[in-house]
Amino acid sequence: MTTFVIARNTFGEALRKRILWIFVIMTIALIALTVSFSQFTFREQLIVIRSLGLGLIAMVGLLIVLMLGINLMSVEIERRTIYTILSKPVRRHEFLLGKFFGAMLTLIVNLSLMSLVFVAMVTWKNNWHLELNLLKGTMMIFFELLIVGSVAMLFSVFTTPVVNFFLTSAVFIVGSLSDYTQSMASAENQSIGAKICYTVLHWATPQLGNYNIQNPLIHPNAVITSELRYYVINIIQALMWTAILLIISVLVFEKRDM
Amino acid sequence: MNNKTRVLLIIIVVILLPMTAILQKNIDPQRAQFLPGKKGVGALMTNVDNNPVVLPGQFMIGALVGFREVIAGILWVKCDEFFHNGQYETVVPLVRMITWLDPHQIDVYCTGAWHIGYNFTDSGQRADYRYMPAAIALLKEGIQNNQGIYDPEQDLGFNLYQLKMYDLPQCIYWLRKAEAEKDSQYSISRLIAHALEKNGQLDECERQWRKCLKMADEQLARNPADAGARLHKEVSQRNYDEFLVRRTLYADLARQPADVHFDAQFKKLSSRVFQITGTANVPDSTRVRIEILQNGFKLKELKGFTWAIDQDATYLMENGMHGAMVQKGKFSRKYDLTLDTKQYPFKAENYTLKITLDPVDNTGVEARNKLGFTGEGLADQMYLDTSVKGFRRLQKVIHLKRSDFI
Repeated sequence: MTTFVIARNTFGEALRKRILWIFVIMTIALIALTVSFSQFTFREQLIVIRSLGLGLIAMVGLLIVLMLGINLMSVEIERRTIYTILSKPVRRHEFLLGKFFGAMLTLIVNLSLMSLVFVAMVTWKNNWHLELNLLKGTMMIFFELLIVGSVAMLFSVFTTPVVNFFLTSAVFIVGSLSDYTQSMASAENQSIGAKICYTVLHWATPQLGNYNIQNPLIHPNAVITSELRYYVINIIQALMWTAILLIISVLVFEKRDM
Repeated sequence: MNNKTRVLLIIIVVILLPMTAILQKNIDPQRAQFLPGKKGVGALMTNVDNNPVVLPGQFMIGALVGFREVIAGILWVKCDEFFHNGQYETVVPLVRMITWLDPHQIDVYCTGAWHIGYNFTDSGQRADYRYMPAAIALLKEGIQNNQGIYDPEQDLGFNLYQLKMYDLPQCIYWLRKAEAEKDSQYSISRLIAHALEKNGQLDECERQWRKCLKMADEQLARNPADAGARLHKEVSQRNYDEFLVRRTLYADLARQPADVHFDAQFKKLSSRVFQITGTANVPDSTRVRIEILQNGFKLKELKGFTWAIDQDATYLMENGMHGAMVQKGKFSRKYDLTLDTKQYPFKAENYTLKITLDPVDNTGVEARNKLGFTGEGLADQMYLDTSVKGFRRLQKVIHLKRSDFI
């Protein structure tokens, strides 16, 4: 219950931050403008519109998660409000989880708004043929950002916002390259050292590349087998990573001197 | 938090971590179908010197966050600029990058393979044949990534296998595939008929022309105003009529093949400068193929696209319309390769020079009237070669040493 109250407050606080709305409004405007970018392709205008739209949603979603994630704890500590809250019958893990869920609720609302506009734009450009398939893409973006948010939350309990920004960004980049790290780890012409390095990178960081499913969404003729199984496994994996990162965050936060 | 809860949470983390790895093991095999290309990523990003190629920072970030197709589009616009400046060696690595970012850009595959096959040349505008397998592999990758689309199949069959490699069976195979695709063009069906004639498959050629006519008639029955079908019918009818006339005429050639007194010589003029001269009693404008091949070197089919060719190999090929032209019974071609040490390193000790008069290289009417479809009009006491089944051609082989060139 306490967690829920904190989550609701965090969500309300996030909504009051105008910068988030500026992001969302700008993105919606850019998605609407994607129509004018379609000249970059010769045959299939929809390819560029879908690609640009999904890319924008992923990028703005990432910015929102970074902004919320790195500031969640630090602002409370800076303003010393955390001491007031923790002096009440609120346990540390309830506070931390409440903050996290509030941030993720904000993310869901923002992603939903952007997705709606995006689907509407594509549907309009595609002669009013409703493309609800694209929502799979934004769903997977959400689960990717859920992991990134947990990473930001973990770093926020023991680092400053600036350090947190760079560390979370680094994890995001390495994680997004999971297709490359896997390919490089199994490449025949690699040295053993490089293979070990790529293997460690592939297994030790969340494989965020898994959540990029743009290709079959952008090119609908791509044949995907066992699609549902893929989504289910990835969502379970995202929840596992989130759980792992949040548990570590709780363990670190519980030990931290306030 | 008490110690018991703390230990419990640590145990949960320890259990969950390997479970994510187990799930990833299940995800990895399925992941490939969500990637843009069917080939493994990361393995192909090298330039002509086989050095790694990386995207500029702003493009890398763009690609990372998901703007792959947009970045590919922008790079393709940039390619056009390089192309018009003649910077072909810059264009091709970019092509590789674009096809990696968006393997559904068919035009990029076709143009990239064309650059590799046609624009990597020496100072005399002769294509570097060592890269031909790379061009073929790039188009095959394009075909694999874009099933059901005729363009790359047509380009592979016509631009590379026919006009460069003179491998007519492969040309026909790929053109047949292109013809079978949805939205295939009429011209592909006509190209097949021409290739069948060149390859001496005369009955099949006749059937193909009749197929072209039937195709046009059917379309015109559906839509009498279809200008494309009307043109296809006119062109096919004219070509079919001419083919039937040739077939009758060339049947006579086979009864009386003429000795054309073919011969050829090689002469070194200075280091890396040499001349090939010869005689052939054939009509003016008949082409003679010249091939200098380092002994032991062979163009091999690549399993996947790579730049990693044998840079030490020497291979010079001038065939088809690029072959030496016969004028008044003689042909001569001077080669000055002093500026082309990279394309023709001449590092090996032994070379084979092949000078060939082959009907496959000749499409001109006058030459064909003398040579026939498959060389049935050709005879020669010295150099008649019938090693290619169904074909008669004249070939002189000269064995040379490195010192003959350098």
